[in-house]
Amino acid sequence: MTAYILRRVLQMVPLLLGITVILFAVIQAAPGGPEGALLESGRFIDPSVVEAYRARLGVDQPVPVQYVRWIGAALRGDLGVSFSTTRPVTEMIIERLPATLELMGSAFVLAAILAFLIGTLSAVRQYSWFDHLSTSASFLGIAMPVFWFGLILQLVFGVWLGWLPVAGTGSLSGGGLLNHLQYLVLPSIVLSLRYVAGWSRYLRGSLLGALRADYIRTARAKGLSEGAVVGVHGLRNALIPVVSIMALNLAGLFGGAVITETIFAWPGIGRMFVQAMFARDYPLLMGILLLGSVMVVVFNLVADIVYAALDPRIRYE
Amino acid sequence: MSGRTGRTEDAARASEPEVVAGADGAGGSRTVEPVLSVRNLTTRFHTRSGTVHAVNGISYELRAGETLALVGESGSGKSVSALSVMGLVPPPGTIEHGQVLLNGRDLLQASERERRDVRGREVAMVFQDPMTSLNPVLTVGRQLAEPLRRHLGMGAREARAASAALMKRVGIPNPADRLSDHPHQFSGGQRQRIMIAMALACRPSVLIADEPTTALDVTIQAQIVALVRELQDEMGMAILWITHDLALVAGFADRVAVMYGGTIVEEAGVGELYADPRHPYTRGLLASLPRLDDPRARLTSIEGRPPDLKAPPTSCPFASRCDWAVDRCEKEVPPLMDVPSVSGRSGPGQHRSACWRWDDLGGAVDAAFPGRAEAGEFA
Repeated sequence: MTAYILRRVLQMVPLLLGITVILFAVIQAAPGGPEGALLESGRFIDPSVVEAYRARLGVDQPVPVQYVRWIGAALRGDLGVSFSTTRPVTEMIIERLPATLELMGSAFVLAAILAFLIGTLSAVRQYSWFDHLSTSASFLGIAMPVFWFGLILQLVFGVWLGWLPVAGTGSLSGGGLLNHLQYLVLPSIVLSLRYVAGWSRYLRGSLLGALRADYIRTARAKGLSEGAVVGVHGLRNALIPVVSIMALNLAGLFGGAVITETIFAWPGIGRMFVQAMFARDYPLLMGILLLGSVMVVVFNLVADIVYAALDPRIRYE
Repeated sequence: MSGRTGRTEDAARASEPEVVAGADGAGGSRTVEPVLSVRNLTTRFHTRSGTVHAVNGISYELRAGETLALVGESGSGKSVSALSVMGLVPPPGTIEHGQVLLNGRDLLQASERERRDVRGREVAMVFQDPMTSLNPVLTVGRQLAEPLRRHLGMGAREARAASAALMKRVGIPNPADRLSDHPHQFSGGQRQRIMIAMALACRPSVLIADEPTTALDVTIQAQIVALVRELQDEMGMAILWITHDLALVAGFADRVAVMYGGTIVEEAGVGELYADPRHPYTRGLLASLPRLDDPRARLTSIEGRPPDLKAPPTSCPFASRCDWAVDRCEKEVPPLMDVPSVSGRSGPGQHRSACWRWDDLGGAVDAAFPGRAEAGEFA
């Protein structure tokens, strides 16, 4: 197992290198450059000033040269300096990372709990009114755009009912933990929605399949209670594929955080990413995208490891 | 035959205290009372495309230490009737009426909770496919311990020791070490041994074996049959052995009940059934067995198709395929009638046939059975 993990980690290196090439090319291919921010002000700026600005940032060089410079520094752990703030990219990411991880974590836990309850109940009571309701709600949850759902929640709970803050984040030092958690509620719900919908569907299908298996009949023939039959024999099998999908989706959660953080003015990486995009802040964009890529690759490995840990029939050499 | 009967009776007597301990209430006439008595059992499946009449009023009795083989083709209702006894008929199946008397108590009148207490303790079941009947993600030790902890109230350590003893008894080498292995680490035959150990963990008075050897290699089949017979001698439980293989049961069943179209069409002692089958379907089954003594003999088959179970039975289910059928067979469902037995004994449970013309059918089947001697030795 250790050898397997080591080999997978080594395989990540060329994979991530390839990803950075593509990311770098795509970012550079987008029209406009970091000087756009200067030009958008509407005032006349001498072309030589723009040129000098581009030369100072290094974007006057051919793209391959820029890439080699960037990757050379990145391999030494230096992700460069942000164009817009002139602060080190690593520092900016680390500063924002906790807020994003907090949102991802709470959305993940919320989604896992709700999906487990809804999926199990839908499978055990197949074709009941609850099953039909959760089926419809799931399709709605998967189909509904995140930004729209976020706006609706803000309107209902923030503006009309006034129960929860519309956006932002309470400072831990000022308002205390409870105050801070109030700000976390709506973004977590919005971010978790599509995962609640997806995972509960997976679990329902997986559990329905497991409950039809011969070993369930064996368990019943032993005189076990329905709780033990479903909870021990059914769920232990049904959760294997679902937990693997959950691990894979962790990376998707990072992507979902971008939109959610923007709607709720959550001070995480997602919002910073959107700002970096508008500013054509190449080093910051590359830094954030690299982080996202690492997450995708790492969570893929985690999913495989979890799968082997849960299913005794699977062993990696 | 007589030697075998003696063996079974000894086993029954030896196990007497076990059986009584397993039952509650009821008087002292236990030895003659059947442990399992199924009366007029009717199970139907109410599907969208109509009602399937899977089991249509079957009755049989099973005494301690006795083996009754329930023989029939796919769809004849043999497995459903067994699941009905266990109370495990999958939806949309329902038991319409009948009685399942286990040690005198009607399981069909019992609550689900009471039936759970009976399942695995007083009546246990071994299934056809040992590859899928064990839970792939739980250790066999855990699965073996479940009935012990559930019914006998054993603690974890005690159940583990008992599980190891059970594994040893069914012939798994290094049982203590192998408790923490998962099912995929065992061979098919070993898995079926584990299934048997699990079923017999609480020393039930009835074991239902639903084609337990069908999925196994022929050599392994013989080992499993031998193992179950040994355990029956030891524990004295009654066995309901479901199979489609007449040759297999010839060697070890005491009695055979032949099922067709959801009904029992003939029931007799094993020797008598082969020597003097009194139902055209039984005769057809025996005639269709391949012959070993005459390599040029062609295989005979029963023409036609099994009955459509979507309609309630209004005629003999076999009438449309039967060479002997007369008008009455189309108009009246024949009940199981007592047939005078070759041995001279008669009476309920001796030899019964559900054919109006049982009297015209006597004698061994022409294309004789491959030789009961071989089948006997094999088992």
